[in-house]
Amino acid sequence: MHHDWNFDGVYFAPFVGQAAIALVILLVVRMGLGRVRFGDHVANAPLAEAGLYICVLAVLVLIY
Amino acid sequence: MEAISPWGHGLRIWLATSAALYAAFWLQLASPVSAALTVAILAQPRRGQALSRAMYRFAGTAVGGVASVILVAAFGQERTLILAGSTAWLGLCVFVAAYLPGDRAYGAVLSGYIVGIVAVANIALPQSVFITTVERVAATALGIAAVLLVNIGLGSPRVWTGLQIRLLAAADITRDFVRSALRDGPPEPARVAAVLSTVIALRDDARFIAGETADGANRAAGARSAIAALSGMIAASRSLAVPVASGVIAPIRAQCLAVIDAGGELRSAALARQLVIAPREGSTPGIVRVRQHGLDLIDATRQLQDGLEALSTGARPQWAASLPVHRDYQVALRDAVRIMIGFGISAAAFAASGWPATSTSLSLVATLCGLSAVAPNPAKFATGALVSAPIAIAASGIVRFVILDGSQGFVVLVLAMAPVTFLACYLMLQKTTAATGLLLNVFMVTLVSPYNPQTYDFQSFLDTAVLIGLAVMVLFLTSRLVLPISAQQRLRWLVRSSRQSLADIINGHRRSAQSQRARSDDRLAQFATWSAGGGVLPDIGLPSMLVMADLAVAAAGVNGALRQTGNIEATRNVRAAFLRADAAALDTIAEGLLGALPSITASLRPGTTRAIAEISAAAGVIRARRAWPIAALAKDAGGVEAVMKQIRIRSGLPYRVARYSATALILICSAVAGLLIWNVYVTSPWTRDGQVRVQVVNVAPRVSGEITSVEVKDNKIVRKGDLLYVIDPFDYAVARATAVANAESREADLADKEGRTMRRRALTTLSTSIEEKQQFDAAFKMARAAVADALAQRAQAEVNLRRTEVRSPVNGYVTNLLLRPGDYATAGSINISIIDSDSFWIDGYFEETKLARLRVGDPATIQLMGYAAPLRGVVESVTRGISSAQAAPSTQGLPNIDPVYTWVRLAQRIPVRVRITDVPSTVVLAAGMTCTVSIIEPPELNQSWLSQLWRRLLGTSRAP
Repeated sequence: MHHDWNFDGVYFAPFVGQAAIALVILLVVRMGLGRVRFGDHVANAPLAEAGLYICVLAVLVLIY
Repeated sequence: MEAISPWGHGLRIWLATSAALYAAFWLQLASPVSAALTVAILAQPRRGQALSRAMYRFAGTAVGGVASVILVAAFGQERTLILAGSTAWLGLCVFVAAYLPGDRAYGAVLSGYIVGIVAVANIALPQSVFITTVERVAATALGIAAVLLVNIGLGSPRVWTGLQIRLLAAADITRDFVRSALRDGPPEPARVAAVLSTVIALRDDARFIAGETADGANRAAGARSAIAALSGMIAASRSLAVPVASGVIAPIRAQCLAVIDAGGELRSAALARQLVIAPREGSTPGIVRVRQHGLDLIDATRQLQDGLEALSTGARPQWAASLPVHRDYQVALRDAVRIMIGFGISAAAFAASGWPATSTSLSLVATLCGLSAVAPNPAKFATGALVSAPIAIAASGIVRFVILDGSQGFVVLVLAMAPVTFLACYLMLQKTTAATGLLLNVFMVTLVSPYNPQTYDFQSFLDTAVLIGLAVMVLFLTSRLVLPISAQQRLRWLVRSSRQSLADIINGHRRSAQSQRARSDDRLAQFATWSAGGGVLPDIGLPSMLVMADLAVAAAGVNGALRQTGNIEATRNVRAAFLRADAAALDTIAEGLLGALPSITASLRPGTTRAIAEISAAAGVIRARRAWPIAALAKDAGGVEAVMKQIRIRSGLPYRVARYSATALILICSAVAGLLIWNVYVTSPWTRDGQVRVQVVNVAPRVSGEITSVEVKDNKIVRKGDLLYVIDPFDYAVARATAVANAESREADLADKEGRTMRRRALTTLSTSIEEKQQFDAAFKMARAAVADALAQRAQAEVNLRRTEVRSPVNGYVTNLLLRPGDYATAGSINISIIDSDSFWIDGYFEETKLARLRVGDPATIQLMGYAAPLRGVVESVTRGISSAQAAPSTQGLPNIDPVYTWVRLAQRIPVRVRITDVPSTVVLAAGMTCTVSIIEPPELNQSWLSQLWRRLLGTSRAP
């Protein structure tokens, strides 16, 4: 379950990689959110996006 | 622009600083100050500004880190070259930055001075540059994360709302300008420049809003489009203001005014377009120009409205526009050279002084030089630094040595720093003291230098203060003395680049009229700024700049239109006429094109019409070169509120409740998710700090002698009893032969003595005396003892002979074999090590906080670096003691307790021994390998799934 990420001899904690992947996923999701006017449907869009990021990250942490 | 509360700004920055510091202490970063400094530098009052700066800070840090590593790798042995290379890199970055707008420039400069911080600071330790880079990037990332979280969580003011208000005000000013131009004739150049400056000033903010919200890219595109539209409106209205001897101009002007007054409303705009195009008979190039520019004005008005709508709603705008900026090569070059000279001279001076703190001082100089290069006015920035340094030194001295003075509570630390942070944030928000505020915070963090545990060394504080003072002096002197640029020079360079640009366009340089107009407008605005800053050129002023700009835009329009229609001959003629500045020739060409208009294909007509209009406009500019009517300069920024009402967001109560509940729902989910992540990473029993351990048998020979043969190879497996090496047996064979001979000799002697004694015993005292019997008896016993001694020696000699063959005591691997035949083996000294292959185990160094959740007997998985397949094991035991750094006995035997305590307490690590039960066949185990040990917590039978989930979330300890 916990496996370090090997980047040419430099080992990163698994969390670093998961955080990066979650960021990429969020950026993709964000494009879709922009299309459906996500910002109009929540009170604080950046806060909600940060929340989504944490949820994505948690899913990654659990399935990885 | 809306006001920003200094309290709110201060609170955000203070919270972000505290969060960054706490996390840095907790993660045990080598340099927590860097994280706090990142926050101090990213302390921008608005969200978009902070986000943009954060992004470029991270990118700049990464690029600069790579550059440092390369620089040090290339010139590791030669300090002078490292310094020279750093100086050159810094200069290059500043040069590039001078061409980039806003925070991109900051990123470029940062990648320059990171080299100063990483490469120069490690000049004595080139081997540690990689680690320093990684730590630097980590600290930066942490600071950025803190700033982002606090900015997002506390809802810092957004750039786009402010920009919206400013854009609406600028639109009002522009509309007034258009109205007065259409009614009163051509406006005077100063007024044109004033309006353009108002519009141009909006560009910087448009850059920040792209990353601010999910639809920020659309909003930014809308803002850009609206700004370009304003500039287009100004240009078109100035063309329409030029008088034309025709009755058609008045209705066109009236239509345009109607559209302006209707705010670009769609139906009226479409109608106006029809009316502007409609009458066709009796055209002249002048009328074509008026019609075309009338259409441009109407379209620009619609574009403005569309852009404003996109900005406020986040929808994609219909028009796209890029806003290139004008940058002076000369200014960029001089900025770069100034920084290089400043940094280079201080590097040389510090290096010559031989002061140990040289590298720290140089990094400070590099940081300050870099920050000054992106400040709007470097000289003012230097003055701000000069003012803030003494305040920061006094304030942080009080914080560190009066308020804190030895205390070690984290809350105390951040509370003590709060007043200075708030003061800095207040200053930051004032226009005149922005640089002072920023630097006050930066210097304060540097001087308080939070570390875990905090040190209270007054000497090092003084050293840092002196270094900051020196760096500030270097910056101040450099900005004043080295290659200062006067307003006059800037004006001259602007004129030169305007001429160059005009010449390029006339010579066929491909550039759209819109792009050319953006550049020209930027130049005009800069010209007006520096003229207002006291610069005067004797021969050329704003009117001439305006003429050059108009000509360049018209020429770009002509070139583009003619290229589109493929009319090479006209292109050539236009160019020749431009080069002669011949208005009559331009008119002739335009009339020729107009005459041919009905006969060309319909698809080429719009392009040709555009070309006729622009040629006519250029002719008009050339003709009216010095005739600027004087009009009153009206500054009317009112009516903002009225326009604001046009834009409404849905804000009914049910909708607001729904939006708040949606946000709350997402936040609740993320809180649960966050707890889960926290549980998996922080409280669940696993550690990345594990090692493969093994028992090693150290073999030493029992006898000394030269080694005649080595029977094993390095890293080869040996079985218990296998021959390892042979010691020359000759001496021991001789010793055994001697012992055997000696034993035989003594046995013979014993047989003789025994015979004699037995005979004497049989005789009576008549034939022998008692004394003689006694003597023979003793001789016999001595001979018997001598035989026993000889036999023992023989046995020893035999064993010794056997011991010349050294054998393995265990199954295992020979390791680090250095023996060669001919080596001398000394009895009792170790010369071969055998790893006991049956004894591998894993030591996991678990934080003490995790011990509550593991038990002896728990299954564990062990993940080796470099192998995908995990090992399995079982927790065998937990170490019952580690040494304490605190309790070292002093001379009297009393414990020596360190009075310094840490800001943030860190968990100790306790070794946990894991027995390996299963090794995948592909894995080659070697002692010392690093591994990640994860304990698998068995589900507890007597608990419901709910309480188990709860326990997992909170990570509480297991029932015993």
